[in-house]
Amino acid sequence: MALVAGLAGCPDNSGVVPPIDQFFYPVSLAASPSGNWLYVTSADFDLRYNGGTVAPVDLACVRAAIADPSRTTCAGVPGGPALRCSADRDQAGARVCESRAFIRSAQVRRISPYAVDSAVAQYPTRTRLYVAVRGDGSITWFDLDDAGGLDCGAQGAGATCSDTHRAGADTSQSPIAARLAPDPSSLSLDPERGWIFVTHQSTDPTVDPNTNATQPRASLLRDPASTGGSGAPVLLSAIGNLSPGLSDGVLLPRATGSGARSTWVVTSRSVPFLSFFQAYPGSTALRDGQPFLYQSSSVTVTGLNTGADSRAIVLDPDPAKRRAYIVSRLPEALLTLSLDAANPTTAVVTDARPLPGGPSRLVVRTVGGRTQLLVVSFDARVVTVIDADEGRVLGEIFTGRGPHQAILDPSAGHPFLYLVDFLDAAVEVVDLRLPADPANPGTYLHRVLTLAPQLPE
Amino acid sequence: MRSHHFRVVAAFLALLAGAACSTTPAVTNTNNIVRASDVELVCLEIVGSTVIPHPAARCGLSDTDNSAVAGSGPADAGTAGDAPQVDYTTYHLHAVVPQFDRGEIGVVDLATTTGVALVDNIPAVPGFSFLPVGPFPVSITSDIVEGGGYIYVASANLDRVVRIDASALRSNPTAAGFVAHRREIPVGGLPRDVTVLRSGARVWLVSTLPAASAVSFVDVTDPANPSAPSVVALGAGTTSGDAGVADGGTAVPAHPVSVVADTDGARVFVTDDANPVVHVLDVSDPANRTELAPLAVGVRNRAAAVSGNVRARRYGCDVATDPDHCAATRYLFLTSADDGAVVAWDIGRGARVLPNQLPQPNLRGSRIQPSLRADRVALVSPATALVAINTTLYDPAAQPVAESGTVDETTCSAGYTPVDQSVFSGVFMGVVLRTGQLAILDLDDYNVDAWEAQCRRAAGSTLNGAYRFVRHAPRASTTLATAPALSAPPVVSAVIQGAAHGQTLEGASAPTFACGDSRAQSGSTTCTATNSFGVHLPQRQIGVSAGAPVYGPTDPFTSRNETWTFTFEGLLPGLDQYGGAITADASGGLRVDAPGALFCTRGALARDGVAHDVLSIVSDPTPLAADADLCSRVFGSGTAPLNRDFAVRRAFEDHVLVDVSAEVGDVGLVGRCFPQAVHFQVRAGQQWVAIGGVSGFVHDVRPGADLECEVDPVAQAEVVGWAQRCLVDASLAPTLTSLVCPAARACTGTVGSDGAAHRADAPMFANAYFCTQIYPALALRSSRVVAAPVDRDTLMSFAIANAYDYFRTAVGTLPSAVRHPAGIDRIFVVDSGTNGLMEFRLNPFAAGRIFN
Repeated sequence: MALVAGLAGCPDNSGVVPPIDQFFYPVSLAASPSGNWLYVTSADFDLRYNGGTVAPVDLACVRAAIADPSRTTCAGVPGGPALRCSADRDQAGARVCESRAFIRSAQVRRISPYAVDSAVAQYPTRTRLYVAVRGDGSITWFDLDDAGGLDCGAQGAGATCSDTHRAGADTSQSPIAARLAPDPSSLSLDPERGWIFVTHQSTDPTVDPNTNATQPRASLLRDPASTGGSGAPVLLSAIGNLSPGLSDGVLLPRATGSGARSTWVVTSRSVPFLSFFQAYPGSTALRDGQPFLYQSSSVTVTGLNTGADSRAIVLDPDPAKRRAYIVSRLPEALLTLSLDAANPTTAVVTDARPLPGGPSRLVVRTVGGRTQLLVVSFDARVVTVIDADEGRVLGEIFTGRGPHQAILDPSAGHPFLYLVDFLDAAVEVVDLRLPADPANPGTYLHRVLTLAPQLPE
Repeated sequence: MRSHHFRVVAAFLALLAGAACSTTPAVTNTNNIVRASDVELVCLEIVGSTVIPHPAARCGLSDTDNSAVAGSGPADAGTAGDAPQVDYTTYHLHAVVPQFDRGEIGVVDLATTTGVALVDNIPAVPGFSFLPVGPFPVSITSDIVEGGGYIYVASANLDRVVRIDASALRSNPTAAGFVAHRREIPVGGLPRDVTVLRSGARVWLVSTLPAASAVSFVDVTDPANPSAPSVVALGAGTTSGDAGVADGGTAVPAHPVSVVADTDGARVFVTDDANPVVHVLDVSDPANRTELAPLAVGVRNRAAAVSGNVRARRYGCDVATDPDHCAATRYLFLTSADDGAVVAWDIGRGARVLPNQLPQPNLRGSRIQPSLRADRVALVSPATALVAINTTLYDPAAQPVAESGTVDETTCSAGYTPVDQSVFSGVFMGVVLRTGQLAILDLDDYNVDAWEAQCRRAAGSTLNGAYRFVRHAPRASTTLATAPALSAPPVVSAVIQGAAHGQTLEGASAPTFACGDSRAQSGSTTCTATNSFGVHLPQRQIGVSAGAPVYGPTDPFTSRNETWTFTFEGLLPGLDQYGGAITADASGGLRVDAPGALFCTRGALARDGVAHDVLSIVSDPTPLAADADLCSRVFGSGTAPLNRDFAVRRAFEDHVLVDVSAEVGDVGLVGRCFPQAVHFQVRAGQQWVAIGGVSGFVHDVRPGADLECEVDPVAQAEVVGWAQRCLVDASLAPTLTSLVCPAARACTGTVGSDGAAHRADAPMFANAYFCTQIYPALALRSSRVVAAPVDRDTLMSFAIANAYDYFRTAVGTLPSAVRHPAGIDRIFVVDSGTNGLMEFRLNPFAAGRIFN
């Protein structure tokens, strides 16, 4: 009796293992360069489980399911369950399918909770996926193969990534003997140089009373894979005394004469500034010093009512246009920025157009030589499609309850937009295929498929 | 019975519970109007369920309770011999507000005195329901005559303009028969802006089609049979230089944005945000609408408005904003697509107005718009919309102002007569700024003319107003309660801080602003300037008193409320913390590379005889362990830095070449101690950096050949010209104008052989706002007076107060449109961000209601 009572008093406290066949608070998407796999990172936002996951989704099967509703299985998911789909009640002609048939669950890997961003880099000999994880203050990284394989030092479905694949989590991994600063918020890569640029949203107060230094808010890692190595990314530099609320960064094209440096421009959720950061590889003319990161400049965002809450930023795909686009929440608007990569600190806002409530994310593409933007508004639950050259709204795509990050299908000939739905635990697929007859747009700019949790029997 | 008892008891308990929990109800902003994009004002007569449209001028709003009153339009004369029969309380002015996000138009009854002004078009549906008009409406206009008319709504993604019968604006769109009130009119493309033009007997619906580089005309004279669209392609522009002078560049397709009809009804103006022109289309021939020669306005432009008639100026043209032209005329105002400015085009003269704005706030060198030219009305941010404001006292005939017969020299020489600046009377332009503000520009302020009329000094003398508003310049005022006149002279106060040689120890050892002809070591000076601090505003004679000239500021409305600082060897803004790499150059010297630093653009300079700036390394050495001690000895630590200054030998846009001091000596040592990127600052070498809190850092350094920094001779000549203007004693001009430092910097004077600092030896600092000289710090060395060294970061500052700022008021987070109903002293601003529709009264100016 006492033994039973004792056993009852010592339950297994390792927590609930996260599911490997569905998403839960999915927060980020990344795609393989081949376009065959979509990596969906679930954040475990409510800590229902003992970790988040990264799940590979068979994109070829997604496309096939759109093209052929009668399809029953996914070839990229051997032994996977049959497709179960139903009509989308909110979108005529669209379908909702259970996500498990598209997920190669054997390759799902567990990570710490509160992942916030992810990105894929293709190097000469390997392809890697990086996930910024707030829960353990790491950049968890994976070696990818084109069969949906995710190698993070763990074996088996749902296995937890090893410590060696959590860059920044251990001071011994870093030549500067540092851990990754708290609250990573975004990732931006420079695959050519192997840089991983990380921003942090830490609002911690001063950490060093002697120098008044604050928590680092930008970090730089380098992945040896960029030079053919196979080792782990290494934290090289972290800098503090920066504006709070660094939000999203984008890598600028290399300016003539400064090829050795990589420059990012970063938005802020707290101040009306654009900050410029440069990764300096070391002074080869004198000695190969330690690479590090520094804030090279900042530009005040002027001509707006506050402008103190900027989110996503992208560059126009056409460098000749010398433009960048920023999603702003104060005011809720799309900002067009005149941005000359050769002279980036002369950036100035040239236009501001209102957006639906709660705009947060942004995707840019080129359609017929024109720049098209797809802006995700979380609160309004829409994706607004904008002709950036004309400043004209082309349409609105209605989404589920929690649209968040979106990416384009990277493979040619498959113009789809993939969108994570944070609250509905789903991935939505939007049709961006231009209709043959503009007067009959069909499913153009509409959701055509949703990968959702389990459907009712 | 039992059931009844239960119900009574339950109701009682519920009442008790409700009473117990009663608190002040929370008021939630329902934001019924979301993402408003434009607004149109229409007059609807409401009698029971019958709605009869009338021209907007028939409606008025009471100044006391906003109730409906007769408008300024033609009153009902009644039948012969009878009193007018119109009950104007039934004539309600309405605002029709397109909502971009919802594809609807909201209707607001502006004459509502109690209850909610929003019209609920479908009362059966909870909340407010509006009229659907299609996806993403962007522009609205109307064409209403007595008894009927229409509103037209253009949408961003619809190649038709939706027309709705104005009599149906309060109707239920789901009701049977509503469809008969709605019609879609093809316009031949995707419209951006739309307007209606009445020309002769024809009525045209005019739309801009940006993607097609064209303007569309639809003849809607017969409402039942609108014509097919007639699309007029606009001529391409070229990449152009100033004032639209083509430089032979590649053709740039026209990109029409806004369209505004000229009031004479024969032509329309179309803005172009890709070319520095305004397209003009002649519609006098119904069968042939042609594009005339475009107006070379010199800036790419977006919004436009045509002003009312301003009156002819009888005198004082030389001080008018447009000195070339003083005749009665109308102006086409345009918002610049590229910067925070508005430009004006004189429709009568057919020429761009070059405002007489020198001195002018936010002149070249504004921190926000460093290249802003003086040929436009500068604003704090880009403008998104314009509206012509003709108040109820506006005289369309532009009759000359009656001259005063009173000899009132005292008032004239006193300078200014207080006029209630919260009263707007005359011809104005309202400008909505992207920063969420509304600014008013004066074109013909009748109150000012009233003042002018008083300025006859003697019978038969020439009228000579001491001051009047400058047309096209911002209305100057700090608060609405203060008269648009100078209530007190600008005040200048000064402090000195940061100098180790403080005044308390040895008064003469601190530099001072010059305020007399000379300064001796004792510190004594003879101040003859307008104040005791040696800073004075440029002045001109404004009158005569007892035979002596009376001086006043050149134009007090050009002074700004701001603080100016002079910092010795101060940091150059933008180069106060920058990153770069130190390497050895080909000659063995040191080179600091910092792509993106924009050394020249930010004012760094290294020219013999002009300035040699200083680069200071901020970051600590990062040597190998073997060099740590040596580097620490030479360069110190973060708390005690040593030898971190490097004189800049040559400065380029992306790098500088620096000299190594004798204390360091070895280029190699610098490289060993700073092998990595360094943080550095750039300071003015042995000069004072002058910075204004509002009017900005005005330097004149530019990247020259090979991107080496040099002084722009044209800009420097302007600085010298300012110095010339400062001099009361013209005989000093040859000397002092040759002692002018590069713009935005001040140099310290020298000490003569007589042991005194002389005005003739102190370089003049001058800009558009004030003039000053800086005398050196003096010290006595063995009975000889010498110039004492000045500490780095020694700061002299002074503030100008009681100057005027141009009128602005907050109108939301992202305002997008503004309208002024003719004959009513109100304007309505649409805020896409938060506020929906906002109302402002003009006379006196006051924020009014918000409809949301």
